[in-house]
Amino acid sequence: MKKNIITNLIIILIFLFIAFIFFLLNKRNPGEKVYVYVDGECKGVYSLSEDREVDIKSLYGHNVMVIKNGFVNVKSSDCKNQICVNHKKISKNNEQIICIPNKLVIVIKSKKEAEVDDVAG
Amino acid sequence: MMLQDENLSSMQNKIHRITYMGMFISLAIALSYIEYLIPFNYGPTGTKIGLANIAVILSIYVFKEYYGIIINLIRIFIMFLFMGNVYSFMFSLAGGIVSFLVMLIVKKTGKVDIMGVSITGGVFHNVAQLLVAVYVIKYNILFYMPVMIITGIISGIIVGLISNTVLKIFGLVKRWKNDRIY
Repeated sequence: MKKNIITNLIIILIFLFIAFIFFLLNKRNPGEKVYVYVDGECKGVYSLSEDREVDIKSLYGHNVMVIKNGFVNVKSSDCKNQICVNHKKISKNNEQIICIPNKLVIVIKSKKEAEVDDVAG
Repeated sequence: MMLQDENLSSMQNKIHRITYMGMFISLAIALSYIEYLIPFNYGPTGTKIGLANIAVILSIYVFKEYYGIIINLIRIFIMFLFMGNVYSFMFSLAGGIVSFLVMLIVKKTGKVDIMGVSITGGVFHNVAQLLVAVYVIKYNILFYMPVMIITGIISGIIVGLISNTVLKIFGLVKRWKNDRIY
């Protein structure tokens, strides 16, 4: 029994270590720009500091994104599971709201990283 | 006479097997429906406790191992018919198959008990789902990996505790082996 507990703890520690490595790979800074991707294509770039409402219409569906006080959230969506609408507001670099049925990704990036991504992409 | 007896017992075996399989499949479906009623969304695929994994782990320990994947595949397909959500079908299919294979490997080493098996199963279920999500939306969301791994560990502990308790209370393994229905 004791041996089992130790092996379980080892398993948990290994997984936590892997999780920690992934966490270190994604450092967060305060974000500046909101990027909207549909099916992997960039459909628009908006400033976080400017309050506005954006309609995102595509082949896959219709979402309404709201930018307010430096926070982004999805107000409404015609998708089935509504995960994107229930998602908490995002404000930091690399945070994302994703709507899989509509193939939509909303992501916050700082300017520097975005430039690097453009070069790489 | 001898032949007849053997035929009878093999038929009994078949009946037992069909009955137990049916029970476990309905258990798995009931558990995934209960899970569906609990709204808890974080991350692109939605984070779940993976209660249906209880049925899979129990069947791995009670029957021959491959019964687990049969039960899980039938459950996933029936849940797809109920809910009609293609994406969650793809996620559960990937998660189910990958987590089953990993659980099988971990169990075969013989050094890990039911708790360790369910933790690895939970973690790999979430990891596989996330990888399918990356493929579907064609965008790098591996950012969610730490959260998915940690929720996998927590759900694995919950599932492991429950299935361990169930095995102990009902003495399922013992009863199964005494009946020689293997």
